[in-house]
Amino acid sequence: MREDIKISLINYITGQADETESAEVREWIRSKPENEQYYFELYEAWHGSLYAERDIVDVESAYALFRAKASDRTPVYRRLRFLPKLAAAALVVFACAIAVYDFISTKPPETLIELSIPKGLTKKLVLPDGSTVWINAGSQITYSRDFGKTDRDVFLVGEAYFYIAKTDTEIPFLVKTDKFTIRDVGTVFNVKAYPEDEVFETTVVEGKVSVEGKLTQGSDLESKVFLDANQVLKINTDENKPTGNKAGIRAAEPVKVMQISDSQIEKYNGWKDDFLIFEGETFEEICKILERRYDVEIVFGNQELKAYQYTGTFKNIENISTVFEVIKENTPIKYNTDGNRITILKANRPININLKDDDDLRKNYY
Amino acid sequence: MSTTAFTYTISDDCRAEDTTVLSDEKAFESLFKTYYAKLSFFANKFVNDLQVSEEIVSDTFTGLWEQRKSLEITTSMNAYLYRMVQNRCLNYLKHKKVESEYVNYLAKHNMLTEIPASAQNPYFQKELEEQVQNAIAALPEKCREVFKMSRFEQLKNKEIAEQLNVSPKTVERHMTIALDKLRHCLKHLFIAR
Repeated sequence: MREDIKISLINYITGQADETESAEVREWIRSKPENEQYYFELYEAWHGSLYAERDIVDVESAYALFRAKASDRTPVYRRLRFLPKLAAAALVVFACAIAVYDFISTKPPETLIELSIPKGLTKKLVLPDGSTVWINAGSQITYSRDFGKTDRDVFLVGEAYFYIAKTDTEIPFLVKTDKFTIRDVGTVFNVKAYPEDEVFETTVVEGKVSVEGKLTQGSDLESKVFLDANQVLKINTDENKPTGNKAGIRAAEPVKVMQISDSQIEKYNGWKDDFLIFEGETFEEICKILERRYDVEIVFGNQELKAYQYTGTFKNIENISTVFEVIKENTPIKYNTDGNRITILKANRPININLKDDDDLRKNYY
Repeated sequence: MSTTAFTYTISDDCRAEDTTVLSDEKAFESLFKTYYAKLSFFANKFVNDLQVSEEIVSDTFTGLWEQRKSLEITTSMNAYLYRMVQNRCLNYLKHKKVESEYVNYLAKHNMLTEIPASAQNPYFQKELEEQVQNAIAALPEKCREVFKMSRFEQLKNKEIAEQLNVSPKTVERHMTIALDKLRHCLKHLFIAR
């Protein structure tokens, strides 16, 4: 058998073949029954080999997710009994639920499907219309059981990345957050709307969306802004601080549209592939992301630290202490860990930012 | 190992037990935990994407849980679960307009209506696990390393090449040798499906 077709077969099975290679493989399989038999055995070997490491499927967290999803409106205290581990997440959900009920109150609640992702996890979900949603840690998605029939509305608290399936339907795909509605026009986009954050953010990767709502602060006027691919919309949602974050480092306008390059997209949607990318964010912003990603509580022992800026890329880092070890290398901080609580303190050494450049970090942690 | 040695039919006794499973949360939890991984691997052969597979299996359990009061299962719970998951997988492929050579093969050989042997018999599954582990352990060292990164860490060839500091071509070669060897060692198991 030709060696190159063997390579193509494996690329095809492992999902690494491009269109041309895939077409070639399919043609080869169809051409002879022996070929089909060989492919079948190779494919079975690839799948059967998973039995060597059954732990690759995490049954415990799958069950936790199932309970959260299948929960037929059992009161929260009952859910807690079954899921002591998720107690904290359930409380967050409970708090959010009030907000969710608020804007879905026109529909009977039992027709809704709710999926809450606890901190420390992310989850991929395929909606009934074939659209795929990656849900970030500490977020919640709610949609109707009739999703796709009468509406394609998704209610989001937190952050999610949407890959909208191309369908013949005329029904618009809407992502509703507590303040804004994102209307899809055949797209791939990310929405970040955590209630505890001061900024609402949407990044368009492909296609076009519109964002609707009260875009101007202090005004009740509904307006709309269109976003194209490679554009990021940021809306400052903190009514008390319309002109910038607490640190006051970057003057944030209430509504801002930024043009970004292809290579910058990952900064906004990298989380779904276990990337954490920071480009000059403040420690305060970074720690919010880390708290959700690793299900920890981060406390600042020194308020000044909140304003420090940091740039770095992390991939697939399972342990938060590894992240802090890296950050520690070129920022003057130290930290103490006490269970799930991490306290950041100022280190008694001179500020030495850019001790290592970003490329070195990438080399070490890719 | 012969296929017939493991032909195993589930008696009607299962039915009484099945009903209990659906009315009791503790029992349902153990049903979920017993079947979840197995069904995910089963679904994965259809959709070739472990995350989607898990989603499908989880949805199947959600459906089962929600309909538990009205559901009438005329076969065993085992057969019912595999049937439901398979149907959901086939629907998913249809929806995504994906043609699966694996499904074509099963259809051609009238294997779509059967429940896989590994699902019917716990001994077959143990046997499968052991043989797969042995087959992987028997791979040449570099091959095994590359294969494990690809299969269990779900890394792409390019990522493996970067991590091991070799060329993507080398990774491709290791993968070809590894999978061909596994195919050879395991093929007697797969005929029985």
